[in-house]
Amino acid sequence: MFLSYLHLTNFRSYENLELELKPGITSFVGSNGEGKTNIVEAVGFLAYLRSHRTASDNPLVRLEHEKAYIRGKVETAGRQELLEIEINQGRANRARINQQPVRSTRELLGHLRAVLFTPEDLALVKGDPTERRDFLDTLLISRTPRYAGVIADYEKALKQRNALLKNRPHERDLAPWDEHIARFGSQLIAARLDLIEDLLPFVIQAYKSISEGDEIGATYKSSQDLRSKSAAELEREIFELIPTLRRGEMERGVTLVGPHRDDLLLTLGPTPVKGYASQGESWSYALALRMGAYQLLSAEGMGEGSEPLLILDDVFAELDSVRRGALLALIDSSEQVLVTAAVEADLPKSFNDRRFYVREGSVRE
Amino acid sequence: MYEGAIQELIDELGRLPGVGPKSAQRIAFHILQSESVDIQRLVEAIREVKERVKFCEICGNVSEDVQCRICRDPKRELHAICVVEESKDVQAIEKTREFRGRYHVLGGAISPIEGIGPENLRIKELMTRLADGAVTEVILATDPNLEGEATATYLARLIKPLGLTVTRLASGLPVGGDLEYADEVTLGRAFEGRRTIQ
Ligand SMILES: [Zn+2]
Repeated sequence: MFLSYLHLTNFRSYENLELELKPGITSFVGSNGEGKTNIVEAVGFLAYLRSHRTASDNPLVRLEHEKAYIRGKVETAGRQELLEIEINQGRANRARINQQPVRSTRELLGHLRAVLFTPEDLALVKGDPTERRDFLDTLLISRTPRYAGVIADYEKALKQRNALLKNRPHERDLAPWDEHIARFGSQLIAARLDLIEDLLPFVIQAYKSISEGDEIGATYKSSQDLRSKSAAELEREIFELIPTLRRGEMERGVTLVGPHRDDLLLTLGPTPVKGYASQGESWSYALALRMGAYQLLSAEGMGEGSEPLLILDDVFAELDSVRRGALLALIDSSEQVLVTAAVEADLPKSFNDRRFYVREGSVRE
Repeated sequence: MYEGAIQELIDELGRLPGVGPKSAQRIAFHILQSESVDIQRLVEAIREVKERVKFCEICGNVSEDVQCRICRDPKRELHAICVVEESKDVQAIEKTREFRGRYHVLGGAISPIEGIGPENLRIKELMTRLADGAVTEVILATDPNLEGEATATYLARLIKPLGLTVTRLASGLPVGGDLEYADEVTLGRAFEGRRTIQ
């Protein structure tokens, strides 16, 4: 698939930006702070309904304005869709598909699929478990959009339950929230397990294309040593576990079982990557995870013309020639690639791209 | 910022649900430019609603009398009570004409984040009503979202030991949505297919 048109209104630094885009490679070159990343951030928002740079939507709306708009035309195997999002300050966002308002912005998920590489990807390997949970959940939503609902319900149930736990609740008051945690938590864990199983071969393959040597591995690590694989069995397991955790939960005022405490354990040969791998190995690993994600979504797409967008935000500067080479191979297999770079010298010499220069919020070819 | 009275009006309007700062400003200036008699009617309507409308002593629905129209109606069946969050849900269900029993309005749903626990809802009143033996079926029609589901689960656990049939409106209702927004066909079908809670 590819994005043929992008229109930003009061989004970050852009009061009004219209771009006609084509398949192939498009680069946006500009110094930091000139607004190049804002463009790919907007494309990412169309795909994921969230920014890769900020947890809150507020910074996305241009100063002194109440709402921002992102509009994009997506072409998938000859079919065209117009996706629109209205980002509101202090109110729920709204969305339209082909000019029809949708009940929930979540209905937009899956219409534009994209995989985004950023300099912060190193945190996938070196950072806290939350980085890896986020990686899994974002990919899960791209793959099966209905999980956005499961995740939202789980997170809300978790907040409600934690609020209750802080007030020394009656057993009877906790019961409904125990059920929610077990139901949505088990669905999410089961989906992550499925995802890892399908993703891992692609990640292993990608790592081999970057680096020789040890085989990599990834296993899901649940905080309470859950054994089941299916959602139904996990639900029962979590439900039985909850009463045994009561005392600790009451003392600390937090929920101690569930997907919010889990991690993806990455290994290189026999050793865990975190804390042991070199900077170079860590970068190779991070790239392999993203590349694997891209390959998985491509393989599960509707065939020719449904590959996800590849977005490379300022990553070339971080990589040596070997790792650049691995990315170039991925670029060749993609229908559309959006790249940002601070200086032209960061871009590979062999690049056959359409180049835009971004300066003080203006974008010129 | 405007001066004095107009800003005060904008601030007050801005506190209403669903009214953003822009709309508050638009409504305020609309009021300022309207005919006095029209505004007088609006002021009267607001005053009347606060003075005349009360909550039914039986079910908690809005009512102009001590008891609401539904609770007073001798043709309504006594064996079934439909539990809803708000009075507006009573209106939504009444439109479907599927339900001939009576209602119980809780006044919200359980939400620990907002500090709303079972003791803040009209649950004690519900249990008192169920104790008289006339009611054999309780239909839980709380909103199909997390808080509504949690409230239904809580009530089911409380009511089941009394030996009554407890049912929940079948899904088909939009998840995360208000009952009020469900269209009548969906809501009517949900009533037909209500399921017993385990
Ligand atoms: Zn009544």
